[in-house]
Amino acid sequence: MKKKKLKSIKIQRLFYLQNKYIFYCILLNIFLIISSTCCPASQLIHGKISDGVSELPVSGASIEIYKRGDKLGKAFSDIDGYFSVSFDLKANQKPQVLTLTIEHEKYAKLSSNIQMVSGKPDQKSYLFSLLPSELTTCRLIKGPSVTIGHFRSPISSDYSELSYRISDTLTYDLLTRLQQLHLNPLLQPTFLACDEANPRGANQAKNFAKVLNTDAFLFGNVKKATKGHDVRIFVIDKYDLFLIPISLYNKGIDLDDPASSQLDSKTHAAILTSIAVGYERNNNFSYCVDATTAAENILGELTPLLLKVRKRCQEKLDHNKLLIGGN
Amino acid sequence: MKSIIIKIITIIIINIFFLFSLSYAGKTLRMDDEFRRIYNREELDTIQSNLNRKTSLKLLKKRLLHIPHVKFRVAVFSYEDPWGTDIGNALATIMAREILLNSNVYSLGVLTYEGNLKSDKSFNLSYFDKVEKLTKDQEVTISIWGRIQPEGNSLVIDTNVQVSEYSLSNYFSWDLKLPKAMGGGALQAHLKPDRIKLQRFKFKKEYKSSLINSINELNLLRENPNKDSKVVAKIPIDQVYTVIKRENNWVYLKIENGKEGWIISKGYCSEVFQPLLEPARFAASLLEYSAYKKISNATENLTNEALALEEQIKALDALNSETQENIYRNSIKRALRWVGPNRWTGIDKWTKIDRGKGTPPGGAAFVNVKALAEIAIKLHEEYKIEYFAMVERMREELEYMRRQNDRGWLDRYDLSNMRRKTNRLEGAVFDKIVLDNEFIKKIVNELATASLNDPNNVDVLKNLSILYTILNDIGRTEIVNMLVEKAINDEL
Repeated sequence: MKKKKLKSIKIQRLFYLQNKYIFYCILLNIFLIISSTCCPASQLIHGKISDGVSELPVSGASIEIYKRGDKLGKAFSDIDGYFSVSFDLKANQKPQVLTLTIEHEKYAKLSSNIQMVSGKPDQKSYLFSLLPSELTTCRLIKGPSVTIGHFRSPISSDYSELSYRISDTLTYDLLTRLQQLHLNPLLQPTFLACDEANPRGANQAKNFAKVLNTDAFLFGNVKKATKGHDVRIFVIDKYDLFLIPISLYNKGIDLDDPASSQLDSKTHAAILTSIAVGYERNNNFSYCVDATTAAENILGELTPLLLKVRKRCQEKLDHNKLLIGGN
Repeated sequence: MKSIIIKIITIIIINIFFLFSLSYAGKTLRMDDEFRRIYNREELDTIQSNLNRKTSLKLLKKRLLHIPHVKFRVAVFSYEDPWGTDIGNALATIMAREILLNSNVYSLGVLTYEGNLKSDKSFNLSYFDKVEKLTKDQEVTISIWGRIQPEGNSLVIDTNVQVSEYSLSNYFSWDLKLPKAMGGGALQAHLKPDRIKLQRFKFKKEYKSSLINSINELNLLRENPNKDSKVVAKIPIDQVYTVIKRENNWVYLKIENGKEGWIISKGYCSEVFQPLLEPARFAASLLEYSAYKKISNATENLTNEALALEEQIKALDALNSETQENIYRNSIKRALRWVGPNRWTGIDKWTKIDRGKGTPPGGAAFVNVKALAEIAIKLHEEYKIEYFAMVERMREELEYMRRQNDRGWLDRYDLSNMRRKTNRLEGAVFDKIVLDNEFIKKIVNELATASLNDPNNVDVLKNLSILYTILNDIGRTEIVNMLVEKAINDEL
């Protein structure tokens, strides 16, 4: 009888211990869940900052992280342009957006959004290219654009205003072509003169196009010729459409005449091709087709590249669904 | 007594008619002032929508047209002159006077705008878009503007013309009515392109001073109709001037400020500049079409866009011809000069204008013309078949009735009943026609293919919508309706 009683006490204790164990386990889990969601955890954002044109690292830039206007952390880039900002952020399963700002006296202020997923930044490391402050006025915030950079001239002469002349002429020549097709004014390109943009080579020219966020970047040089001047124009885009700048010759131009800024039809076509690709990248396929039509009207026919761009854009049009027995 | 009153009333009516219908007037405006006016007006519109009707009417009175008592209006803008050649206003004057003094349109007003069409900080629109905004509330039929570009020892003058939205819907739209059995809708076409470069004209810089002298003469009012007569006034800015009478190559003008005098209307331009007047004449021809449905041929010094416009108008006009042959000759054949495998390229044998190659001016507009013409011809064919069948039936009935009449059984009631029946049947023949689905599918595919090259052509898309509805293709009707909406929004 006594034995039986002892056995039942043992069983009861076992149950008691087992329940206690389960209870502590639950408590521990609750603590873990609460601590993971409520308590701040230390975070790091790494990255590298370089000059958008020369690609050289930028040291001493100030990097700050904000969440809804509240500063979370600050750091400076080192001699190789690297930085890492440490800050405390409440871990949250929901995605969060932080704002990262970069400031440097020689560059335009940059602001970028950082996505935080499960409390961690969505990239291991971020790369930022800064726009030299002398080029600040050459970059548009939105809308398609064409930027006309510096034209190098012989040492004895100065044609620094050539980019302004060209931008004026292009504005009329190309904008009217696009307006004939009734493009929405908000989506028409702006032609900007930027004599400060003076690339030293093909790679740098591409960097200019990218850092200035321009559909087509034009630059070139001027040479004295037996009759007038030979103006060599290079066109490059930010979309890697042209792997190296396209080179076009405009011969025998009298640059002493302030009105000499007419570009040949091939230059116009190259610019319109870049604008067409810009529309394509922004999913505006009908305007992309329109831009190729404008180029076709100027050239009299479509170049193989223009044809390729037009076909690509046409394939993405909903108009394809209208063909009976077609696509 | 009664007849005298009627005569007096008739004379008054005739006088009023002449006063209002045969008037020619002009006014020069400053573009900057116009902007302010437009913006103030837009503000007024916003306020107006929030006010009661009585106040709205008061405000509506302020919405006066610059030249209200005319039927047609033309706007001419100072030519863009970025290199300071100083002939921008002069060229606008020459175009404005040529249209006002030498066009055959009754009741015409010419507005001349002085200023710059390049976008600036105060107004973020340029060129064609700016012209449209400035003229929108003036019920202008067409606008003319251009640009001067020095090129070596020459000056290059571009002249552009644009047909306003107002006249596109009032004068330059066509439709083809479909039978009731096919839904009774109407396929449509509007003139396209509506913004064109009319001419690129080049002349030696040394002639510039002679051009300026000729044009200065166009601003001076003289006491008598001869060049040596005393100058009594100069046409001022912002004042309406009206044509009072004509005498040989001179016109008598009266300015709003009360001053009057003679101005030369012909022979003011030297031989070198005669081609420069051709855009003005072509623009006048577009005006004449608005008034009398008559269009002149494009001439050698104009662009292929002008030629396309002229041929498109003629092709669309022929759509409602009485015979299939006429539609084929004037609509389809003209459209095929611009589209299809046998598109005409190079120098045109009649006008000497380079027709170019590839996509024609107006994009899919000529494919649309061709589609409409093919449908019109098919409707004629079907009508003929139905009509002959009806005639045959009627003949049999008539024969039967004749036999009845021979026996003396037919009375007057039967005959009039027969006539009514004939008339009713004739009217119903067209509405009974149903075109073959395979034919419609062929047309639809041609239009859909063309829309791939001109995705925002609203005419083509709207016509496709009607044709898909006939084919009972609900899916494609929905897609095309969505594309119509997008195309309209994209233009805004």
